[in-house]
Parts: sequence; C-alpha cells; structure tokens
Amino acid sequence: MSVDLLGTDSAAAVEVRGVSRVFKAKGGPVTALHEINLRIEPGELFGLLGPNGAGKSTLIKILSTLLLPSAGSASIFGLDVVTETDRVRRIMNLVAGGDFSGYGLLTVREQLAMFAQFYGMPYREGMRRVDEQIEAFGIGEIKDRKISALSTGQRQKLNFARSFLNEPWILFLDEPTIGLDVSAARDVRDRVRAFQAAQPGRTVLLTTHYMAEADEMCDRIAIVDHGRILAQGTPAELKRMVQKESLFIVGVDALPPTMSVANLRAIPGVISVAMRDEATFDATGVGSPTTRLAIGLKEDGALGGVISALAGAGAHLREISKSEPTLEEVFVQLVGRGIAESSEEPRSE
Amino acid sequence: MSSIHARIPADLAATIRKETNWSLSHRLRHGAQSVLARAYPRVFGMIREPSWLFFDLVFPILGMCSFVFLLRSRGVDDAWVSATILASALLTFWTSVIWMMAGQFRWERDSGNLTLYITAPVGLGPITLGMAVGGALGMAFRAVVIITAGSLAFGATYEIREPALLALTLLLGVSAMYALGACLAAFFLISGREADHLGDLLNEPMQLLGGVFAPIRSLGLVGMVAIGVLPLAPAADALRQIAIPQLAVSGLLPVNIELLILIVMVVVFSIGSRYALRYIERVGRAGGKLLTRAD
Repeated sequence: MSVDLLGTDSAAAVEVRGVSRVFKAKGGPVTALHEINLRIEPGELFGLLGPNGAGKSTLIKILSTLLLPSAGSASIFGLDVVTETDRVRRIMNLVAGGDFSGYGLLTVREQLAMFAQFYGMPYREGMRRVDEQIEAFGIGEIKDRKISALSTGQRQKLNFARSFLNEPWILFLDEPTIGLDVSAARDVRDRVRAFQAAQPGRTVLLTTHYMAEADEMCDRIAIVDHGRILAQGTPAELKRMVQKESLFIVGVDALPPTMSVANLRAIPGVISVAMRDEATFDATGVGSPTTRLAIGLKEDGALGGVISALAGAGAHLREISKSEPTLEEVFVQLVGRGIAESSEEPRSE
Repeated sequence: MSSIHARIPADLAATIRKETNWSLSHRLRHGAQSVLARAYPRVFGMIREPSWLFFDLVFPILGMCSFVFLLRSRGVDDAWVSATILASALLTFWTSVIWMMAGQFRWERDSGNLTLYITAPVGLGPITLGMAVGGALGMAFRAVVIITAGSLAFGATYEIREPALLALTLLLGVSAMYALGACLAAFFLISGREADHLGDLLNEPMQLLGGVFAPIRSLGLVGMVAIGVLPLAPAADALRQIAIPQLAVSGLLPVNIELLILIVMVVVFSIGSRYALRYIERVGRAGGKLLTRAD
C-alpha cells in the first residue's frame, strides 16, 4: 500500500486512516484517539487545535514514530509509520514546547553539531548547516554559550534550529510556543514560514491551544476534543460553519422617526435586527449619541437594501463593519465549552 | 495553500523515496559519526566542570588511600598496595558503568533527549556505544591520574613483562563492563527509580564479588560464580596477575582463561544490549510512557 502511494505523485504528506489509541490506566483503559481520519497535503501548515487531553500530542507521537496506534494506520509521504519507521525518521523532525533537551555542558554550536551527526549528514555539510541555522535564528552571539546558561526563549530557538538541520519534509511542532514571550513566539513563527517557503512541499503539523496562533499560521485546522476530530477546514471555512448569517454592525446618528426596527426587518434578506443606543466621542472628547444596529442577513448582498433604506429615511451613516466569529467562538460552539475551561481537565495523553 | 501546491515538484514522492533509501556505506558512516558525536559530551563536556573533575579524582584517591593505610597498618606486603592502586583505577570504570551508563537512559528520558534520539534516524545502538566510548575515554584519564598519584604517594611499582597482554586485558575488561552497562541501561529505564536504589545497595557487594581490593580466590565457589557473570572479577584478577607477578599465585584462574571469559562476556553482553535496546523501543512505543518525558 505504502509503496503504491509513494510511487504516485498523489501521496499525501500525512495520511491517517482510522487511527485509535488506547492507554492502560489505573481506572481502566483510556481512549485517547477514536478512529481518526486525516489527510494533509504536501506543503500545508496544518493545525490541531484542542485543549489538553484532546489527543493532539498522542496523534503527533504516533506520526513521529514515538507511539504505536492501537488500531488503524498512518503514513508520512506514503511511508508507513509502523513498518517503515527508519525511513520516516529520515525525513522528519520534532519540536515540543517546554523542551529542555540537550547537555548543559555543551555550547549551542556543539549541541547542534552533535545532532547534525545524528541526522546523518556528512560532517562538513552538517557544520555548514549548523552555522546556517545559527545565523538564521540570530543566535550567533550565544553560539559559544553553554546550554545550561540559556533562557527559555533561547533554548526554544535552539530547538527549532536543531529541527531544521536535516531539512525535514515533515516537521511536527507540539505546542512549540508554550512559555515563550510574544516577541520570541513571533520570531519562531516567522522562521517556520520561511522554512516552508524555502522548499515547496515541506509540511508542518502544529498542535496548539492558542487560537490566535492557529488562526494566523495554519492553512487548515482540525478541532480535536476527547480524541475525535470535530471539524476541519481552513480558518475561514470553520468560521462559516458556525455563522448561520452574515452579521453587520451599522452605526447611525439616530434612527429617523420614519424608520423602525420592524421596517428594517421587513427588508428582503434581513433575518434579524438588534438596536443599541450608545455615545461616541471625537478627538476633543465631545460625545454624540449613536445608534448601533446589529443586522443579520441571509447573505452579504442584502446589505445594499438596508443601506438604501436607512439613507432614504435620512439616517446619517457613521460606520459599517462586518462581524466574523473568532476561532474561540467556533471552538465553543463545536466543543460546548471554552478552550481554557477544557484545558483544566485531567490529561489522558 | 494553492500557490504552495502550484510550486510543489511533481516528482516529490520520488525525491523522498531516494532520500530515505540510504546505502550501507551511508548507514555505516552515519553510525560511526553518531558514536563519536555522542562520545563528545562525555569526553569534553565533563572537563568544563572543574568541580566534577576535582571530586571525580579526589574521592577515589581518598578511598584508595584509606585501603592503603589499612594494609600498611596490618603489615601486608607492598605488592598488595600496588594491587589496591590498580584496583582503584579499575573501579573508576565500574563506577562510571553504574552511574553513567546504567542510569543514563532514565536521565535522558527525563531531560527529553531520549525522545530526540528515538525520532532521529540513528537508533539507540550507536547512541549507547557513543556513551560507552565517551565514558571509557573520560575514565581512562582518571585511571591514569589515580595510578600516577598512588604510585608517587606510596611508591607502588609494577612489573609489566607483557604490555600488549595488559592492554588487551584492560580493553576486554572495560569493553565487557560497558557492554554490561548497555544492558543495565535498558533494565534501569524499565525498572525506574527502584533500579537506582538497587544499584546503590549493590555497589559494595559488587566490589567484594569483583575481587577489587581482595583476591577473589578467597571467596571460593562464590568467586567462581562471580568471575562468570561480573566483568569486574576476571578483569581485576587478570590485571593483578599481569602487572604484579608476585601476586600471580593469588589468581583464581589462569590469565588466558580469564581473557576468554571476558571475550565471551563482551559478545554476550553486546548481543544482549542490542536486544535490550530494541525491546525498550518496542515496549516504549507500545506503552507510550517509557520513551517520553512525563508532562
């Protein structure tokens, strides 16, 4: 099966077919993954979004050859992760958040050089790549510093530099920005994008419970909870799934006497209208009354009728904006609770 | 995503197939490089911590001195002083096997290194061999310092008529010890913290059974068993016979037989460690906890 897949150009970067994973536990078996099916195309940056214990890390461990599935099969670029383990390890790498691996007595450059040898490249080529990654991650100033003296952010940059050494076709990132400050997290995200852009076909599988990170980085996202994929698609597709109507916020000076909420609701394409009186303030701090209308439409095109009606009634438009659900809202709708409260559950991974 | 797809080479699958199909020479070179790479931190990393170096040398020398003073106070022949210094040097290797080989995988697991080793295309074999080579080289330096210090302080002398035989015995003894250490590394990983405690408890009995500071011949049948399972025993007994001829009569078995035992031990423990390393990887991947750091 895997050979056939590898022999065609249609081999997925990651293909997961009916994978389940059951762990033995004191209170009885814990099912961390329930018959997961997933296909990630070459070149994608795919996100697994879910709370702690959702099964994200378990899936990453199976794909990165650290764990065997209890049932089902999975392949990386057509190579079976169970039967072709050695070959899978030659094209992959892994970065986990909060990773403090390495030997504290080695310097940054020595640590990278050691892993370059483990990854199988000739010595000179390995050292060239080590220096290249030191340069790329801007850690030249600390290249001769012992690992034990590095900050969390510097260590994670080192981990990323290590993971890029073998120029993997598939990179697994398991909560890679956990514990990093905003600036360091942005740096590593930028490097991941540059890494993918440098060689078309490089694929990244990212697990995170940071919604903004998933929304910003991922081409596609799967929302995972209790070992099941609840939904998958692009961030925009996921948002559309939970948005039953197009929601626009229209601000006017005041609703003219000839126009009422009932009149607006009668406009073709309008589903709902909610009104709220507020005050807005200009730069000098002078306030003026504003009426904000939250208008739900069957489709965006119906907005024209609303604007015409308001203008025809003499309303002065102050603002029009489209309101989109966030991934957090998508998550709440699909999972039934917020990711923060979900993350407080005990881990089964 | 669509723009990315447009630039993906049509022959990507073939490229990856080629990349993952390593030749035998590639794998051999990779294995050798990995052994050296893993040995590096053991040899050079430890030199960077002066306090470790100091204590690694001072404590064994103090232990050796206490034995020498005890022997001198009892009026024992000076040949046994030389034997004690030789034994102290050999003991540095054994201590390294127990502390830096057997317990190493647990430390590597808890620090996250084991996960990276497993997912790297190198395998645990070269990593373990690198640990052993680095450990042996690092300890060789300490052994030389101990023998030099002991000889200068106590006037110990050695009469080495066959230096090649001495080198071969040392090589086989150290190899057998580290091969056993590789087996123990897998056992300690599976057994968890209890194995550490067991290792601590058995340290002195092992030295006794190893015949480090006293001839194993005096242990009778127990000594015979020890010499068959504990690399320290035939190594110490043979080295004493080769380097201090006047103590040859205290040897349990002829040197040639003890060398043969060491060769068998190297082979058996090496094969055993290969299976043990495969076993822990298999069990680790099946169980899910053995190879990765607890979160």
